[in-house]
Amino acid sequence: MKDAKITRRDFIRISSLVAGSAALAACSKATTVAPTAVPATEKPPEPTKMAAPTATQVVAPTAVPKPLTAEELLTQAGLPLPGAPNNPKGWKITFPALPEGMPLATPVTISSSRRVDSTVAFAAGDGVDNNHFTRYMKALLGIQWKAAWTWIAADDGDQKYNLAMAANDLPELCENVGGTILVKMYEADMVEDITDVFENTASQKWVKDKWAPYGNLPWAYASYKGRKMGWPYVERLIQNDKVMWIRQDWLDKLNLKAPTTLDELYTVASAFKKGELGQGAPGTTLGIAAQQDLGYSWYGSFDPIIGSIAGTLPGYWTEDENGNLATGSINPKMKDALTFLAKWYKEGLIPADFPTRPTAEAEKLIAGNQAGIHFTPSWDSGWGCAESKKNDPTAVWKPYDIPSGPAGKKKHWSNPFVGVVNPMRKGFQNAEAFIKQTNFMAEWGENPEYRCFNNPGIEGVTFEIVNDRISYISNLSFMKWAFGPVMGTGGGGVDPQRDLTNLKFREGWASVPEDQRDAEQLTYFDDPTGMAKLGVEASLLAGDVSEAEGIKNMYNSLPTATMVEMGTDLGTSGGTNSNLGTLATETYMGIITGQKPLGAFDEFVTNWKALGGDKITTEVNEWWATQK
Amino acid sequence: MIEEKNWFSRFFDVFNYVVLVLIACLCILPLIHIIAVSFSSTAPSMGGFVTFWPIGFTMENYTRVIGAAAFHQSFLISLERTILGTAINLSLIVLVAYPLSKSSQEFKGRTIFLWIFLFAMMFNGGLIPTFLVVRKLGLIDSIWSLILPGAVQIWSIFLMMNFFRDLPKEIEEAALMDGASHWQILFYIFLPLSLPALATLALFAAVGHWNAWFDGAIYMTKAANYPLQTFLRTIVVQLDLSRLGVDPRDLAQLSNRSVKASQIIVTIIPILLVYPFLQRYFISGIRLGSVKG
Amino acid sequence: MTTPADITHRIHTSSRQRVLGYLARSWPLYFMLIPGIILLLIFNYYPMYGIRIAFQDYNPGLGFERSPWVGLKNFRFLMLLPQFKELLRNTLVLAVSKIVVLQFTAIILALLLNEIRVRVFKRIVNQILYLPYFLSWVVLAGILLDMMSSNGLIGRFLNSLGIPSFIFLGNAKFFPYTIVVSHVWKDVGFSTIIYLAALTGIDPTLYEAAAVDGADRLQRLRHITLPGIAPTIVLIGCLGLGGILDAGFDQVLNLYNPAVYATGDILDTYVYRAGLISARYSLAAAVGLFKSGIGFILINVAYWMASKFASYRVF
Repeated sequence: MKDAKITRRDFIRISSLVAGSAALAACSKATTVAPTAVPATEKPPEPTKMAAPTATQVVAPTAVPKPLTAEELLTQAGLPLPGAPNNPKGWKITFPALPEGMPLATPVTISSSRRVDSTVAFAAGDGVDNNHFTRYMKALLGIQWKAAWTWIAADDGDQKYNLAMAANDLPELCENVGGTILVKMYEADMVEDITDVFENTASQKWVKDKWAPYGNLPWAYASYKGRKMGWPYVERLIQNDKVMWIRQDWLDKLNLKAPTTLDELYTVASAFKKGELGQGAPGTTLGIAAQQDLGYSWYGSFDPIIGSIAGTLPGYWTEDENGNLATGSINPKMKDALTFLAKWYKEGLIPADFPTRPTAEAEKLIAGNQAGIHFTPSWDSGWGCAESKKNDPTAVWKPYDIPSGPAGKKKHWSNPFVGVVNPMRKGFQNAEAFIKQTNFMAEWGENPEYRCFNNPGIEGVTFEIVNDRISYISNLSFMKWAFGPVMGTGGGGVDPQRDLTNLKFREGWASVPEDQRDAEQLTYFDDPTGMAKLGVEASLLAGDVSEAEGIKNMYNSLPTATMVEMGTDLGTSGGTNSNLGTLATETYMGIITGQKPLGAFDEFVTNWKALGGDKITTEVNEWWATQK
Repeated sequence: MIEEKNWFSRFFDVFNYVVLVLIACLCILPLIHIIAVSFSSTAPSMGGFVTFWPIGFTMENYTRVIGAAAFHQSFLISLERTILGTAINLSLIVLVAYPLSKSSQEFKGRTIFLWIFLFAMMFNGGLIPTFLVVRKLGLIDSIWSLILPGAVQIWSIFLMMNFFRDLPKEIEEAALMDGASHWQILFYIFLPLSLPALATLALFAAVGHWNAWFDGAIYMTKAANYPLQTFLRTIVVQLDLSRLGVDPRDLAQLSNRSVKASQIIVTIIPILLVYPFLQRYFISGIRLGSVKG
Repeated sequence: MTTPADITHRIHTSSRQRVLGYLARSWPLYFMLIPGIILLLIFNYYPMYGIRIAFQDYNPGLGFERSPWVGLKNFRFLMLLPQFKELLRNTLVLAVSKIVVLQFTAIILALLLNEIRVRVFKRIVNQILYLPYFLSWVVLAGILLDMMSSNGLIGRFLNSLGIPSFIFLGNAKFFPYTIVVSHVWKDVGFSTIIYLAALTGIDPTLYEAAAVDGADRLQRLRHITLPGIAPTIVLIGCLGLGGILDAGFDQVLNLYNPAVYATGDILDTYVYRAGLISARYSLAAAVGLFKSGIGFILINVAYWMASKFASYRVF
């Protein structure tokens, strides 16, 4: 009887399982949201070196028709030209020569993952793979871009890459893959080797020459076992270089000059605090802004202080007297830096709650006019300083070079070739077309004479000219629609110097008489708040001193075995999330806030070495030996 | 309610009111603060000056959030997902809790089933295998990917099961003697008696669906398919300016605390509208006539 | 219960008839479980093959098949970590304190609310209590940090009393209190509702009978109300044990900082930093498995204890 019970129940269960699955399957078809087309089933690969006679730039007499220029191709495709060529106060965005063999007679399709956040908006009827940029690329180069999927920010982007890897369904081009996932991709052999294609196809003038001064840096993260495995993402050179922003009006009120040494900085900061010049409640004025990332961060950072005292930064590998690499985290001079900061903390010059303050919160101290000094990159003229001025119209900020300390003037230097790469899926057939596009975009986008860098877009589509000035249509931006390593949501490019080059070019417009300026030039010089000018000043300043003052992290490669084991990320923050990094931060914070005695540093050094620090040092120096 | 007239009782009543008012204030303060920020202009909110009243009153934060066409679309998606999802959650909760609430004698094999659910509540395979399953079923970019994987809310099932067990046994026995089937007992007797619990669990499920953003982010490939919270996350992207091409126009958008605040308010409003409806079921007592034991 | 009638019935029917009779009556019970079981099988049990990540050196590109098998290496790594004891201790302390204080507060609040006679007041207070629950920790943490800063409301108030506001978030000794209190503040609304629902399940005639018998408020509380919601309390406590190693990742992550790692760093946040950010999924999976395992054991222990000592079957 027992058997009878089981089989009957089983039968019921099995049949309902079948029925249930059928119901599920039926349900999944009745979706209210249209499923996407399965990505990446592109046409069978055509050899890209087609050289169909009509498409090449051969200047042959008579029978062969002249190759169309970029403008002609666009007009032929019915697309509007960029810039404002038709407006009396307009200007033209011109084009470089098209790459050889383009537009491709048989268009290719490339699927890519793509970051889309709130800064990206599309014109009516357009979408992420159907907009003016994609149409331009199709008309000019013969490349049809498709978005395999979109992501919003680093954490869900990372997850999606993980999932795509697990499903063995990476997009052909992966936009901005974070370093740690990159390693996994390399190890799993899912990435295309582009060493040869790069050698043959990358532009000498616009890519290779621009990267020549940096030696092996561009490929630090984008290569694996000596082969180039992806296209680097290149930041703007001074993106994260700090300048000292200081309240000039406070200085004037107290009859002080801007500090040039750390001791003078101390005097000024103390004077600010005592003077109660801030906008908050009494007693809340601070000497300097700070937040919880000590070694280096992108706002209100301490790296100029620590760097100028210790000559190195936590997590940075620099050469010691013997020519070996040693980490700044355990450098004995770090104690001096910590003592210095501990004194500041005790006297209330640094916000008492700085350990609880995430980086972005430091900005509040500036916008709220609580702090009069901060070490922040040059772009802050548009953010913290601007908000500060809105809240207190008498505020006057000025950027200065960082003060010098016992080790001179030293601060964090950004490796523009960050630990973020654009790898291509293994088996990617169109690497050549992709690199040709990148060449084209690098030249077009970064040679300021074409006026494409930071361009406002297309008249009538992304902006209008009103009263001889540019007026943007909502937050449409042509550059944000770009696929590939140049432009796009991340604002990447090829030449790290592109910002500075363009800035100097634009400053050159000052020599054009005002009545002859076009709308873009007029808008550029429009500066009611004075913030734009400040930004230019700060950028040029940072650019000038970048090389001399930057502490360079000499270890530029994928993490070593022990680094991976102890948990690390490839961020320039020196792996603060790793075991060792956490230990370091805990110790530093404890000493600065006075919760730990200075002796805790020595204890920390011993622990650091025992917990894998020594092993890492050995591994790093093994790598270093191969670099000499 | 029973009336008491002694002094302790009255003191206690007053004390009760005072304490509850204080606690209520504590709970409502953050919300008032967020509302104030959402109606303020950017500079004051960036500077941290806004406490409980807007400074530089403006509606533009809301127009930015609500005006986007994508907002309407994702709003509808979230609405659909919440309604469908909660309905499915509740059905499953009731259907599973009822058999499990019977004793082992009445329901042979109950222990095994109990273990099946308990074990599933504690252990799961993780994000990647679940994603692969969803993908294999073809549910990527489908609204069902937001509903089915979490459809069985085991914690709630146990709560409901407990509630069913606490219902007076006599009611059920009376019904059985009248020849009622399990279906009839469940739908005509147990359910009406369980309204408070049902309402609670419905709210729990609905809030979960409404606030979920991560599943929308990984199961949808195009922004057009994002549910509301995932869409709103695009407006307030993770603030890490070390990596972005810093365009002044971007800065203003990315870091805007006022917009963040209006985002929060916009998502809370539907919940606040639904809640009073369900409240009736919590506060009032059992309405149906009970059975004399 | 077996009555004489049952026994008579049994003697007169064959086992086969009894089985059929049972099924005829009770088949709906099994049928009702089917949709739930199917969904569980598809979305919970089938993906469990992924648990083996914990025993591998997982690389999503290599997948489950090709990632190298490392056995218990990840677990050993975890246990041998110098901070492991600290992480475990912090996790347990925070989790247990949260459960206890939250339930305690929620019960008291539910009882208080139950005594309110003015319906409107009850409703409004209830609605307000529930509000912080809707806000995510990302938001609440930001607000809390704001309010506790030297310029913020709570900060200014505390500073004027001479208490440095910073210690609640920046000092390891006080941080756990901040975590527990803020957690209660956020979740008490929801828990109160559960208890209120349970309270409404108590037969009002019992109260009337007790009043007639001369019981005062306190006595009614002790003898009717508390026993009436005792099953709910035990159930929630038991379920809470299952999540004992979940000390509230979201909350801690958004509120902590290196200065308070000594008491604030829990298993999940450690894994987040050292595991997920560095793409070490296997370590994360191992910790997850560890937590689930302990939780599962604890639930069963609690169940056994409740049934042994209180003759009460939780499930």
